[in-house]
Amino acid sequence: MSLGLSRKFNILQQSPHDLQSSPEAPESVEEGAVRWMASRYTVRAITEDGRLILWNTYNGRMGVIQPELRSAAEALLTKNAFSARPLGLVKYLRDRGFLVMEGTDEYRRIQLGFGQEHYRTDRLELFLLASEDCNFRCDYCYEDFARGTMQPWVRTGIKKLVEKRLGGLRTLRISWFGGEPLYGFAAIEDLAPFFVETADRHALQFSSDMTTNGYLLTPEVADKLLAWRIRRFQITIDGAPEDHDRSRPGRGGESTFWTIFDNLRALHRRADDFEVDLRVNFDQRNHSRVGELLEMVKTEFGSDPRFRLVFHPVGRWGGANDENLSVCGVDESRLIQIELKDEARRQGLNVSETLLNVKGMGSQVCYAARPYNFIVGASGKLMKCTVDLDRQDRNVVGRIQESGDLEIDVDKLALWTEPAFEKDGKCQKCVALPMCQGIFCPQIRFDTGESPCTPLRLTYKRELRRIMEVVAPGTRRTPLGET
Amino acid sequence: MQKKDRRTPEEIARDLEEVILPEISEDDLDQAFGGISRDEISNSSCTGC
Repeated sequence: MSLGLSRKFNILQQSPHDLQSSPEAPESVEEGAVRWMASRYTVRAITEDGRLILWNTYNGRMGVIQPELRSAAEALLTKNAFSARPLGLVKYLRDRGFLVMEGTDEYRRIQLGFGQEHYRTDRLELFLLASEDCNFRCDYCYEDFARGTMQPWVRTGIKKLVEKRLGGLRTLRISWFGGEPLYGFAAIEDLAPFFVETADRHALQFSSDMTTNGYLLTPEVADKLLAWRIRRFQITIDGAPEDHDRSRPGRGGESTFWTIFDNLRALHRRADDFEVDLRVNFDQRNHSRVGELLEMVKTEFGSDPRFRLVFHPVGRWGGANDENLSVCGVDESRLIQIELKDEARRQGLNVSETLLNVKGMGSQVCYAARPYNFIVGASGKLMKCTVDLDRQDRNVVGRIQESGDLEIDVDKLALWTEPAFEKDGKCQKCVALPMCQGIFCPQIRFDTGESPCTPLRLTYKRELRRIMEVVAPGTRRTPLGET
Repeated sequence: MQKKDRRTPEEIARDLEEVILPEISEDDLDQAFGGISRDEISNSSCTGC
């Protein structure tokens, strides 16, 4: 039936809706109250001077509420929804994600964010075992040194893999690993320039790092690595010289400390842009003398922000010497780690914080759990976990071909990359879920059946207070109520 | 002991509509984290020993 509109308007040219007067502008949010509730992903801590620190694990935002407003903020941060305009304190809490609109399903947001990151195809991360052999024989090492330098056909396959992926690739991250990667320098010399050239030619975001014992990191080698944009290094020094040499001797039992330390001094003298994580593995034997190393680091690199200390407890990681190790217990390790970090800070050294990962979503997820991350072994094996390596069949998820094709065992890959939190009620209720997504360590889940919790979950309140000790001047520059 | 605020959340929100809270600057946070870029950090505690 005709409405007769076609006689009045040319409705084939213009919608009748467009002939009506303009609808009113939507009511601005500021004019109306909205119902708010507290985010379930906010961690709280109180400083000694009574400030409330808030940290949202979903978006990584942090906020500090001065003591005079603390009780007010706490009253707003309840599960019970309330109505308010997004102004003042409410706006502050809303902008940082500490308050969300009533009815917001934050768990569903995490499911979305997980999928967006996890299944992206524009990112490729490769751990390359330049050599599976090593010039050291550390007493806690779990590797078997079964193969030497990465074979040339494997290197060809890696180049072709990257070339095949160029159409959809935006980010390429190369991590050199081993054995000792510099023991297989021929592989690095073959591949690293290729990555840089390819990244430049195709405008890829490129980053590269290396886990090395530092013994072969001479100034001449550093020249080349830095030119190939390998700019992050993890180098382990296990305390004072005699402690280090006991736990990290050369493969013939040689002392290694001073060669590494001299290489670090040479790095320190350079003007280049790089970062060094100085990793200290501690156990019952060496932890009480780590202070000697800290003194040395302070003397040599103290004010150099490129050098940063990281403390890890020695573990029984599956090596032949596991039963003879003097490992610390879990709680003891945590306390020693805190003490060592505090001591390093007292000495004015840079410390790698566990709360560094404040960027929120996915920051505590293990690389092995991501489908875009593979280890490529010297003989072409594709693996996921750098602790399991090929000692566990579950971890060998396929092989790379010389053509660059990946021959994947889908079921093994699916095992490592499953969204485990979706089957884990404990994870689903956890305030840290956005960060670790239930996959902080898939290996722990396989071996124990337990939820693998990030250690951060046990220490974040302390870490937040510590951060405030440093940030405090910044938060006090602008007195409350002033712009 | 922190005194509990007796006002309703609605009253608190209304009373504090004019409040401006100080920001934590990115520079300050980076300083707290040892001066490194927090974008570059990933969970690397397992890599190597």
